[in-house]
Amino acid sequence: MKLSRKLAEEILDALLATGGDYAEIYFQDERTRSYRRRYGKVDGVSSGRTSGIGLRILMGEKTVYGYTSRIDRQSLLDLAGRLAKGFSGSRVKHVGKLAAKKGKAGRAILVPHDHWSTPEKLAYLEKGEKAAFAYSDAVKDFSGVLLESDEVVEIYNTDGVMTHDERIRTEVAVNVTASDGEQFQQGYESVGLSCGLELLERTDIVSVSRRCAETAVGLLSAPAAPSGEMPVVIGNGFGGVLFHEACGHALEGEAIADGTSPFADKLGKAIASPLVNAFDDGTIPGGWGSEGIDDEGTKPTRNQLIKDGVLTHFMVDRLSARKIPGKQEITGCCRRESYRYLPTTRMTNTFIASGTSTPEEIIASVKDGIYCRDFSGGQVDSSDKFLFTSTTAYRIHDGKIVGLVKPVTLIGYGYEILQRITMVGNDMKRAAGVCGASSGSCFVEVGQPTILISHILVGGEGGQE
Amino acid sequence: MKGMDFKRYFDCGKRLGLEPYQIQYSLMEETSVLIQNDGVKSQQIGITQNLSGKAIHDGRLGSFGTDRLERKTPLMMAENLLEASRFGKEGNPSMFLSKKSRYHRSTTALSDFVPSDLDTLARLALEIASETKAKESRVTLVEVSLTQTIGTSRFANSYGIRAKQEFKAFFGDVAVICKDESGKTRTGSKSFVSFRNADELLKKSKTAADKALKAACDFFKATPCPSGDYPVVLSSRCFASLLSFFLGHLSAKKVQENLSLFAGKIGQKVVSDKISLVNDPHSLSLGSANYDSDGVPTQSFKIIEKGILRNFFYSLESAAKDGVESNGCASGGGNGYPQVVRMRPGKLSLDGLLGKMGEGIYITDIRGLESGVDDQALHFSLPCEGYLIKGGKIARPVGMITVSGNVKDMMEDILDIASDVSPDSGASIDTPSVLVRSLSIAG
Repeated sequence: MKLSRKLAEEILDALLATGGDYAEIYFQDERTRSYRRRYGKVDGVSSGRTSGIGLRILMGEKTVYGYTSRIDRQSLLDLAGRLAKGFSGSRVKHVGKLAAKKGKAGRAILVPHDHWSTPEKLAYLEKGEKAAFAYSDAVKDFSGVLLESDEVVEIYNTDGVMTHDERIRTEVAVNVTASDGEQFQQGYESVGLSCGLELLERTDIVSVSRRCAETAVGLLSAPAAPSGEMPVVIGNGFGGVLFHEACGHALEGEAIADGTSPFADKLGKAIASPLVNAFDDGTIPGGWGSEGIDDEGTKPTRNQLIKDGVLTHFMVDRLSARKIPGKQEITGCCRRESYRYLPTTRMTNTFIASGTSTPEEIIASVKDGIYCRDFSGGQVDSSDKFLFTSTTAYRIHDGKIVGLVKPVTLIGYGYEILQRITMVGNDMKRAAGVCGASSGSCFVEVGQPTILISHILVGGEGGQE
Repeated sequence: MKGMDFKRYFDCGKRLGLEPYQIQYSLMEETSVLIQNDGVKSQQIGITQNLSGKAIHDGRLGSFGTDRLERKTPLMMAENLLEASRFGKEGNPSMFLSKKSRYHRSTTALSDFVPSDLDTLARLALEIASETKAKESRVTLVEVSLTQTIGTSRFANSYGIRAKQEFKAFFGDVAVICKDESGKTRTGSKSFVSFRNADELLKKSKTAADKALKAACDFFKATPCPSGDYPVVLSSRCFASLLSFFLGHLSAKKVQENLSLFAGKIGQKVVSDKISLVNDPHSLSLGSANYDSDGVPTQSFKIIEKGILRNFFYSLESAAKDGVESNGCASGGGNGYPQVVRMRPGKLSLDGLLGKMGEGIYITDIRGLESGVDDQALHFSLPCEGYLIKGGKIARPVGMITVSGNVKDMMEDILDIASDVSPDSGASIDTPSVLVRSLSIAG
């Protein structure tokens, strides 16, 4: 462990000097590497190291937080003293002896990051590059990136816990640009897991690159998407960003505790179609959003949020458990981007479970609408108004996919959209993403099977047909 | 700068054959409070150092960054740069600044900046929250966050170039949630920056709070409008957000890679003749800087003049390729982007511009820029809200609509601009409101 037990106890004790009832030390040491090929050649190999400490004190529902990249004893004790001044009471608690908990190394890594050489990694990206340029003369640029993250996190707190987690992540991202001389269009795909380089052995970069090239070239001649309210089929995998934005954030403990979520008083009530069963599961082996312990030292859980359309659980961390009425179990999803951020409840791997319809049945049921296959992301505000953007969408006429359309944004209110899910497919798939919120950018998975929404506003330029 | 000995870094680099070698260092301290309604929700203090370097070894470029500064960091940095450079992209000494230059005096920190402590920030934030809540009975939640950031940055390279600048500013955000009699909720928020002291911070916070309240309350009764193509007035903030994507296509590196829509267009009309843009890196704004990421002094210059393209944004790398001098716009990785962009205002007031439009939509808020704008195609599809304009006047609020189009086409279709620039806002892109011939609205 980075800090000695004695120093950790000393810092925690200093943090509690003015009446705090809980204190915590979070140490992070992350090494990252990126390998890039672009424009037909190696575009760079770079690396970085992020290392620092976050100190947190809770007193009731109030928080004081501090962070520093200076991790010598004196700097840490100075910071602890400054933070303790955020309260003006008298000590109510002394720190007991910290008991080392055996850290969880996370999932076994089959191929550590140093088992492939740099030339091998760049050659892997080059295979994708060749496939993209071979697809069409209209392909003008290929960007392939391999990202590696090796991180150690240590947590010490005044419940007597002293534990650590090792977090390994690997991601491959491909972006292909095509042009017809008048315009540019892009195709993008990324794959990420909490694993080592076995990801590259499982990911056919040639297929990924060809799909991106196909999308980019296809978009050059695609018409504008239609506009107006219509049925929309949301594809599996990254289509799960719909649930993430429309409902997921509103079920995080902070929004429930603040009373800003429209679902804050809906526990036990129907909030979605009875076809919907949704989970937040930080225990999925190798899941992009999975961790051995969360950022306050709690083991993650498999948490069913919605059962047959009924809201059954929230996502809860230590602080929101204090604020939400009624007894709330902590669900092990307190997370942060880095030591520079105050942690809070965040999603881990969030998905709608498979139903019974086939994707073919779902498409065939739509007379006039669109099928959204790929997405670039989304957003939601405190009134549960959400948006998400489909980068690859197709027109559906009389139950058949008839052609690609230009990217388009869909908007609505989360509490309305969940009730408009009328078919749920049997092809659940998960996808890696990054979610930004108050505790920074966190790695998350979104997921779902193919689903049908009876009607949602589609913001295309093509007008209403 | 106590403890920052560049010589040790360059000596370690020299021993490993790294030449040339460049380092950027920053030290930032942040103090912030978050108030929710009438209580302090959280307080934070943060101190971070950051070091990033790039160097050439045997004709190849490597880069490395860390915030872990200790005795062995100079050797650790050199070893990581060496490893990264082994298979990095081709490097050239022309990517590093060798000519000593004069730097503009720091405009990123005022000499009369007065720092505040946490108690003062908390007191101000509580005052703002309390006043905001008292102004509107429908407010159910007010959050006010105030952050003070004080920092220093240093640049050095193995050719002996040295530069420095300071940064001192307050950042704030006011967010409100309002609920009407039917139980419907609306949110409104406004961010702001202040470079001076607590008095100015308080004044800006109150203005921001009023704008946040208006954004929330004006739109309780907003409904969509029918889908179709409409003349549109984009508010200054909305237009500035879309302009930022347009500016990305003026990176000289992008032009050289044949990925810009404006290759070969210097001296040609590329947008409406109502548009004149300048880079103004020494004004007191977010983004202002005395040097770019290559260490080159920043400079003011024309970007677009009455619709005619005058300059691309150069780094040392892209400038060497074109055989020109860098204009101090390096933003990392050889890319170019300006520091502070100002647009020349028009003659019409905002009311005058709406009057000129006559019938159309006045868009005051757009969201989802991170996912809803394609930065290569410049296509956008974004949720928005604003007002339906009839007879040149506001008829009713509109919401739950989207606006779609292409940024390049939109810039060509700007018919007129207002006079409502806000150079004191501190924003890194400052424009007036603009009238666009037609954009597609879905509702």
